[in-house]
Amino acid sequence: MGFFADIIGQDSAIEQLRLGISSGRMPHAMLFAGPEGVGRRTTATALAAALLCENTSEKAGKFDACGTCASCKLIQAGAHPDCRLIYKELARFHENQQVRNRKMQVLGIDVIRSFLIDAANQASSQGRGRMFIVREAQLMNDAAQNALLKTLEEPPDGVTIVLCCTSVERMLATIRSRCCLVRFAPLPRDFVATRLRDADVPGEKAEFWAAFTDGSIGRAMRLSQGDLYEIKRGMIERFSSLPPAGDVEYGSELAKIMETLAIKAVSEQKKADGSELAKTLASRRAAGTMLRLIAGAYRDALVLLAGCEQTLTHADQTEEIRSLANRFSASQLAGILEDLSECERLLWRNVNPKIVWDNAVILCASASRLRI
Amino acid sequence: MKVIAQTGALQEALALVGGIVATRTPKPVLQCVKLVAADNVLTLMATDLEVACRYQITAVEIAEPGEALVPADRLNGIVRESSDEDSLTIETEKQTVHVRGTGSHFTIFGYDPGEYPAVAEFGDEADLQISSSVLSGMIAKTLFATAKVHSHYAMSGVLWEASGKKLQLVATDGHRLAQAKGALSKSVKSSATAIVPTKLMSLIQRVSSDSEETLEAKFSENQMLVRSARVVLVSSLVQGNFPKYDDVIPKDSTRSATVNTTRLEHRLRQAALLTNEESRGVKLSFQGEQVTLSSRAPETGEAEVTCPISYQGDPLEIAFNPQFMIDALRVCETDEITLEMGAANKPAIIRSGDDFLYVLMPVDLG
Repeated sequence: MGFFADIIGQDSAIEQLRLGISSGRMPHAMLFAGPEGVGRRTTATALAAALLCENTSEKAGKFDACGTCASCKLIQAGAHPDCRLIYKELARFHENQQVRNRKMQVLGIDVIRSFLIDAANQASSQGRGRMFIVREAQLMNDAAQNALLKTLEEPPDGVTIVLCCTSVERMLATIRSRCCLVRFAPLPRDFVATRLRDADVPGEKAEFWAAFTDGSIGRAMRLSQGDLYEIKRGMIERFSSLPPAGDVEYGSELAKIMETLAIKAVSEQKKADGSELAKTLASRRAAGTMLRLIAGAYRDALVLLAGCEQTLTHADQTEEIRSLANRFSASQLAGILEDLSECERLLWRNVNPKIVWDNAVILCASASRLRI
Repeated sequence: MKVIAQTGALQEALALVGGIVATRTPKPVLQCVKLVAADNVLTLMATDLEVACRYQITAVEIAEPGEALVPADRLNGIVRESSDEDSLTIETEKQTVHVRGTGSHFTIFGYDPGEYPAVAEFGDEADLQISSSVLSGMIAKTLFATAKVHSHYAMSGVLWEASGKKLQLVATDGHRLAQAKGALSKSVKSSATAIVPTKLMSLIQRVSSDSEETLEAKFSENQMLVRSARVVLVSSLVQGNFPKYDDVIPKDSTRSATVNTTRLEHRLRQAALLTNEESRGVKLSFQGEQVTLSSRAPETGEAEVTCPISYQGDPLEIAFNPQFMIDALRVCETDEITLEMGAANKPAIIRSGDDFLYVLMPVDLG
């Protein structure tokens, strides 16, 4: 991983960065904004590699790292002393025990202070500048963002800070105004589907994930691994045939599915890069994905009612979608969609997952509005 | 790689090197120590991305040169628990490392040595040379005064200023300032200034504590390197501008007191017993040939102790944070110190010989 030449589909962002480097007027603080899994961190790493490389070359007028020098190798190994990745799970490695034991749902001020601000005030070890990449910057709380302001505005010599975030709006206005914004666009659906098929994901499955993830190759790749597709098929079948009175068992089944997915996500994260994922956060993310899968079906039903068949997300289960469309009116479907998104918000507000899932089932069975 | 090394030498090396390796890091590679065997020397390298070191062991027999990257705590443990062996054989097989004694065989899974950050080499020419005991003493006199809180980064290190045959270390945290002077073994070609992180300073102290030798130091734009007989220490420097400390040192003190160091320290400790979080100050009343130290803790009690001094100037009442004074008195090597004061709201100076100067801000007890 990790060179400009390897990044596909983000031409305008990369052009913007290359222009900055070659003109010698590289911004010292940048905000990489775009959906999850479209290559923000890969690009940031590539930028670090290019800035720190011992013999950067201009291949065919394109500035890039060489990929063979000691610096490039260290970047690929993630052990470059001048390229640091900042993420909320770094709290596990904080010198203070209290910080280590804290739940890691936000990117807190302690992590920002000791791993970014303090580290930025040391001179670079190889003299070619230093790079700090903040992953999931939208999870920084206000205190952390405020602590970062001074360093963002006037970083020590040679320091470049890249904040990767999903939505610019989640950042404080004071952070936004101090950063150069680089936007990352969602990738075309066909492109994602082709890449999935190249990675040996069967056709129908590939089409579905490409449609579901809105052009995020990273999310599509991740979701298409494992048995989430089969779980999704099961869920849509079950929801399309729910009796109007609801199903008493199904709520707890869904809660169990959520738990299983969360546990799997935690262990996968551990295997992938050794970092820890908080269990609560994992189960909320799993719930978010499940709710979006379910909502996708009702959205498709609404699309069908509107007389359009081309843009269905669940194109592989058209029969089930049709039965949903026959059962509910357009306004009922819209109500369900609204309340399903409310369910996700409730989970983030620490409402008992079992209660939320029971209510989601009742809601989807009868289209009666949510009452929590 | 295949080397046969004396256990004692390995133990000594790993005790220092293992202390540098980052204990908490998400990257397993950074929890490792790198072994390089070449030219009859086994070099151990470690880094926590701020400080780094190379430790050379010459008591080795190199059967096959090469490199290895091994988790530091494992290797350290194995070597520590092998005290009964005279020597250990360390052999690599791809990234796996075998450690063999007469009756033991350990296999550790290592990593690719290419993934380890490079540790700079000292090179030939040193910028300055200084005796280890002199430097160690100077570090002890300044290190405690560095700023521990965030936000003043330049003050989190110790300022080194070398010119001619003199070296001067300065540390401050905004409430006090410590300055130590020492002589270099050889005069420097061009004067050098750098802010050195506290981590490197304490490492230098560790390296120079056991033996008297000449240390060499070298400054580059970003780094400082220190070389002793066996070890090279490398550290990134602190970026930023050190406060203009010369302006803080009062030049117009009208009162001065000379006092026995240990006696004053003892009296201060006594007076400090009755201070608390809200009133962390001890009042010193200078009059005639004695100073009265008094403190008061609300709802707890009061203390008053006296100490003989020789005093020149008008009577004065001034209050200090006792801990800040004790910190300085503890590192003074002279029997007597001189306290120089201007007024109750002006900084005071503690002088011990010609080499140590300490500026202390008074506290306002209201």
